[in-house]
Amino acid sequence: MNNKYFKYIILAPAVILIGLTTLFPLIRSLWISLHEWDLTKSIEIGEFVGLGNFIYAFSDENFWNSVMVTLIFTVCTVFVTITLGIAVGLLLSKEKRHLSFLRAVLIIPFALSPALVGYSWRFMLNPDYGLFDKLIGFFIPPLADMVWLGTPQTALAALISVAVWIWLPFMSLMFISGLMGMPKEVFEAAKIDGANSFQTLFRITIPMLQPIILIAAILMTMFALKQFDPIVTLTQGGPGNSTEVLNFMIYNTSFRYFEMGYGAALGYILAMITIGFVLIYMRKLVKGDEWS
Amino acid sequence: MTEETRRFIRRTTSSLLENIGVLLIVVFLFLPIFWIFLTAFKPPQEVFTLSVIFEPTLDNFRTVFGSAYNFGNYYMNSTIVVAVTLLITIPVSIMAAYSISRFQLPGKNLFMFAILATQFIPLIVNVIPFFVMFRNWGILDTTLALIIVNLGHTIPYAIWLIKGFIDNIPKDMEEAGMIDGAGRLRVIWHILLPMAKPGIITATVFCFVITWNEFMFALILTNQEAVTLPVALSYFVGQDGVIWNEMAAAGMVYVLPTIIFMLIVRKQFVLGMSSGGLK
Repeated sequence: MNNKYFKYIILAPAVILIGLTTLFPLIRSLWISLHEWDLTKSIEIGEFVGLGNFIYAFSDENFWNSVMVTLIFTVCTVFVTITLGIAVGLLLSKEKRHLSFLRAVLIIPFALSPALVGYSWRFMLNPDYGLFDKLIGFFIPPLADMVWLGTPQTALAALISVAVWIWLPFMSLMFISGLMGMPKEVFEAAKIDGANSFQTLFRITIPMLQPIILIAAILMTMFALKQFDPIVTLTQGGPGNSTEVLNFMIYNTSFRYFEMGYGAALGYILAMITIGFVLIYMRKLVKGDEWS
Repeated sequence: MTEETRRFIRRTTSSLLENIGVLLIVVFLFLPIFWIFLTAFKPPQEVFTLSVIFEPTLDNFRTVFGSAYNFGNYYMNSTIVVAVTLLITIPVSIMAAYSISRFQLPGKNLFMFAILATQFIPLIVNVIPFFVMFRNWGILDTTLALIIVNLGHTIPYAIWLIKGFIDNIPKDMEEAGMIDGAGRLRVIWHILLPMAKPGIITATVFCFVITWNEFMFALILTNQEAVTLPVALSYFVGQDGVIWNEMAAAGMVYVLPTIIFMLIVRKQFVLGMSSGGLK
């Protein structure tokens, strides 16, 4: 076979499929976002409104609520997951037999369906018979009567916990492999120089982990901003709209109220927020200076 | 107190704290799984208690696969969607990854960046036009609709993962084969593919997990005929609340394949994900 065409022939199926399943809908969706389109009224695309949908978002109270919820959810989830991930990494990266078993099964929670995880947590947070509810009530009696999914703050906290639960194993594994790959000599030298464990942690371990922390933060932010399944199965955006993150608001707008144009516009706004976050991290990654 | 005892005390406390930390991690991550596992075997009267000692029953599993829920149907739907998606994704991605890794192509870096960038845009944005199109074509609520949408999600990931692995295979291996007179296709088949196998397996399992657990597309694009497992879980939410023991049983049969697959490729998976993020 002629080499000149071979490389294009084997690349073509992927390009065609990506074009049809990703690029085409994205462009089409951008076009829809520039139109008014209520699918319950007409199956034909509606009036061209230019940036009208985008401008409308800025005067929409629900949109601002969603942005706030999304930011709180994302920042908390990313921060908690990464901090805990590093802690878990430090605890589990030692060469011990029972730890190596634990490392092997750590991937299991991550493999579970987030939809199932959401339902399971709803079961365990139930104020009448939920296991977690009872455990928390036992250890911290004042919280015994808490209806976790019933108040805005606790529902959001519950949602963040579930997101942390889903992503912690994977993030921990990234940190574990990073920590186990570190040269031992550095730590021995620090020990000889009389550094205590805190100095070692903040002066040596964390700076050396920095590239992994950044990648973890990028991945985690992307995942948090796109979180969907646990919200549907755990809180449905409620109570009120206290857990309605942008991604879920797009779903509601497009597939519950069938306002396709506005939904698509919100989607592009979320994309811009994601890119904004990633650019901030990228600058850190490129500069490679101290993580503080 | 001598220096020695002081050091001893410090070492014991720190190892005690470490063990408590490990215990807390285990409880936080595995207690929910253990609890759902237990619930799956509970008779109805025990579901709303915290008892761990009860007479385990398989009734829940029988009900789940019985005519009331017909979970077997949803299992079939999920299997079809995942199998067809993988059958298309993997060969297509291997070919593309090989082409990009081995040849000079105009704009290939841009292409790699572009397919990554599409993942920044929330997937629900893709679904909006698809929903309208599928409605017009009359293929809403079919497995075909789910397969089409899934492909846009799996192929970019698979190309990134597999390309990373092919990049690490030295070109000399193939060149040596070709000097010996073998054609390019034979070289790819007999030399490259066996060497890229860990990467291909990782990509397959990864794509399996994302399509098997895929919830949003299925929720939007199906409502009866083509419903897949994650959406079918909501059928246990009835008027009088959730039938937890049956949902737990359904959940257990649903997640079993994923757990097995993930344990097989655990190591490569983490490597693949973190190096994919690096580039």
